Amino acid sequence: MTAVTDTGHTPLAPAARTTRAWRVIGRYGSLGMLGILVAIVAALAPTTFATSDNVINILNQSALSAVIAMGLTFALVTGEFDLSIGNIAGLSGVLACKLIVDAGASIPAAFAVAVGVGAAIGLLNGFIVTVLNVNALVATLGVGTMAVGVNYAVADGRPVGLKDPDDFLAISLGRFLGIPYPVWIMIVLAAVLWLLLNRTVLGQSMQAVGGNPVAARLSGIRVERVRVVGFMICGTLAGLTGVLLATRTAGASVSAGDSYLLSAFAAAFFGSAVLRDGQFHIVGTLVGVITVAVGFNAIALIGMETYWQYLFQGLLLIIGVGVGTVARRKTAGA
Amino acid sequence: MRRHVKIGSAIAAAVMTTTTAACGGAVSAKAGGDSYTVGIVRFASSDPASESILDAYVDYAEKKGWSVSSVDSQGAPDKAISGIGNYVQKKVDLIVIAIFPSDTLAAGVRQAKGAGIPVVSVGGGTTEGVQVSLDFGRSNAKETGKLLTDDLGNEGDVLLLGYKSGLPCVGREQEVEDRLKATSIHVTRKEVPIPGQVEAGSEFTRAWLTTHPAGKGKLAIWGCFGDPARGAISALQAAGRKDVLVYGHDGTPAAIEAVRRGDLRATSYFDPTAEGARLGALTPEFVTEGTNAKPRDLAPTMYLVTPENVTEFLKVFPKALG
Repeated sequence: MTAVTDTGHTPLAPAARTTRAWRVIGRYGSLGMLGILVAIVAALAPTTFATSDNVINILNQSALSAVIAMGLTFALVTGEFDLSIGNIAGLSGVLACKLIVDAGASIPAAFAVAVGVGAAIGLLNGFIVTVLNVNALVATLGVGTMAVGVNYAVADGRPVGLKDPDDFLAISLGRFLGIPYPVWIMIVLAAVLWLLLNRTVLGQSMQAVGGNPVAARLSGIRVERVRVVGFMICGTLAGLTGVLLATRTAGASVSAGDSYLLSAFAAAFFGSAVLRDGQFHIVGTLVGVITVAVGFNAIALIGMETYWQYLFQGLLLIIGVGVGTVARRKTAGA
Repeated sequence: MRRHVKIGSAIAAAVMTTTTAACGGAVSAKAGGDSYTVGIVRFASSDPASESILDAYVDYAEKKGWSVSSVDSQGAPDKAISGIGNYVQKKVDLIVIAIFPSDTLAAGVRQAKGAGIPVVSVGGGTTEGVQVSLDFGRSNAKETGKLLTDDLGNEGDVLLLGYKSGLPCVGREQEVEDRLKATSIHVTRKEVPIPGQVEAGSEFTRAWLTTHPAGKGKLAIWGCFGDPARGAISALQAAGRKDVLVYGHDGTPAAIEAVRRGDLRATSYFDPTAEGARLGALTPEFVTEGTNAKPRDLAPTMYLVTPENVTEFLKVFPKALG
C-alpha cells in the first residue's frame, strides 16, 4: 500500500511545482515587472525618481488616464469594446469650456452638462449595440466619429481657451493633504468602481455577461441592459476625463482626448494579466496605467532617447499580457 | 490562494521599500558653470518643422556637453504637461516645448515657473511662464501668401488646408486670409486632422477637383504645412491635373524635391540647423534670465523656395534635400 502511494506521487511532484510556478508568474508577473522597473529606475536615478514628490507626480500623471481606462474596463468586462472614448473626452472638454466662455455657465454646471453628454453618448453606444445589434467596434467607431463632427460644429476646430482660468485650473493644481485633487479623484473613483464591480449585483452581472452571455441570460440576467449600463459608465468616465483634462490645459481642443484611446486599451489589457487570469478588473487597470506612467517618467529622468518611449510601451504590453497568456496555457491542463 | 496573497504582498512591499527608501533624498541636479540640463517636450514625430529644429538644438547641446532629455507627447497636451512635470522633478535648468499653444499647457508651465525653471517654446507663443518663443507661424506665410495672390491676380479659387489646433498653422492661416480678403478669390477651407494629414490633404483635393474642372479659372491649393500639400500633389498627379498651383510650408526635403520637380509652386524654408543652434547659443541667456524674463518672440529667417530659385537655393543649403 505504502509502495503504491510513493510511486504515484514522486513523478507528479515536479510537474505540480512547475504548474504552481507558472500560476504565480501568470498572476504576479505583471506586478513583478512594475516592481523591477521601479527598482531599476530607482537605481539609475536615485536622487530624482524615488522621492515622495515624484511618486505624487507619477500618480498625478496617471490620474486622468486611470479615470478613462477604469471606465473602459466596464465595457470590456461585459465583453464589449468602446472606440469612442477619446472622442467623448475631446467633446466633453470642448463643451464644458464653450459653456463657460460663451454661455457664462458656472464650472459645476458646465461639468455636469459635459459629463452628462458623455453618459448620453454611452447610452447611444449601448442602444446601437444591443437594440440594433451592430458590432460594438463598428458602432462605437461610428458614434465616436459623429462626436468629432459635433465637436467641430461646436468649436469650429479651434482650441477653446478660458479668459480667466484660475478657478478652473485650481481643480487640477489644488491639493488636499499635499496630494493633488486629480489623484484623490482617481483613488475615490477606483474604490467606488471596485466596489461596484465586485460587491454589487450589477457588477457580478457584468462579469457574468462578459464571461458567458448565454449562461448569464439563462440565469435570469438582463444581458442587454447590463451591457448598456457598461457603455454608460464608460461614456460617463470618458466625459469626466475630458473635463478634467480641460482643467489641466485651461482650455480644450477637438483632438485633446484622442491619445487616451490607445493608452486606455493598453492599460486595461496589461491590467488583465495582473492578479487574475486574463480578466479585466479595476486594480489591474490601475496597475497598467501606473506602469506606463512610471516608464514615461523614467525616460525623462534618466534621459533616454525618445524611441525608448515607443519601445517601452509596446514591449510592456506584449510582455505583460504575453507572459500571462503563456502562464495560463502552461497551467491549463494541470 | 493565501500563498498568492503573501507573494503579492511581498512584491508590493519590495516596491514600496524601494520607492520610499530614497524618499526625501532628492538633491538638485542643477548643473553649475557652463553645463546645463535641458528637458525637451516634443509635439509629435510627424511634425517635421519643430522636430528638425529640436534635433539641431540637441546636436548643439551635445557638442557643448550638456545633458538633454527628450519625450514625445504624441500630440497630446496631457502628455506634454506630464513631460514638463517630470522635468520639474528632474530639476532641469531649462524646458523646451514645441508647437502646443503655451496657454494650453498651463498646469505644467505653472509647475515649472513655481520651481523657477524657465520654459522656451518652439512655435507655441509666449505666456506667463513661457517667456521666449521661436515664431515660425505667421512670418512663415508672408512670402507664400504674397506669391499666391500675385500668381492668381484678383480672381480664382483656392483650397485652403488648415489646422487650427497648432499655433504655427493658425498664424499662417491668418496671414494668408488677410491677403485673400483684399481680393475676389473664392476660398474653400478644410480642416486637416493629425494624424492622417497626408491622406486628408489628398481626399479633400480629390473632392475639390470634381467641382473645379480644368479650364474654369485660376486654381490653387494652399497647405498650412508640408504634409497636406504633399497629399494634394498626389491627388493632382492621380487626376492628371497640371492646372492647379500648390503652396506649402516648412521646406521639408520632400517639399524641396517637389519644388525641383515642378510639382510644388513654392514652400517657405528656414534653416533648422541655424535655428536650433541659435536656441542653443541663447540657452545660457534663457537660464540666467529665468522665469521673469521679458517676453519675446524670435523670428527665424525665411526663404521662399520656388522652381525659379531652387537650384541657387540648394547651392546655399545643400542639406535641405536631406
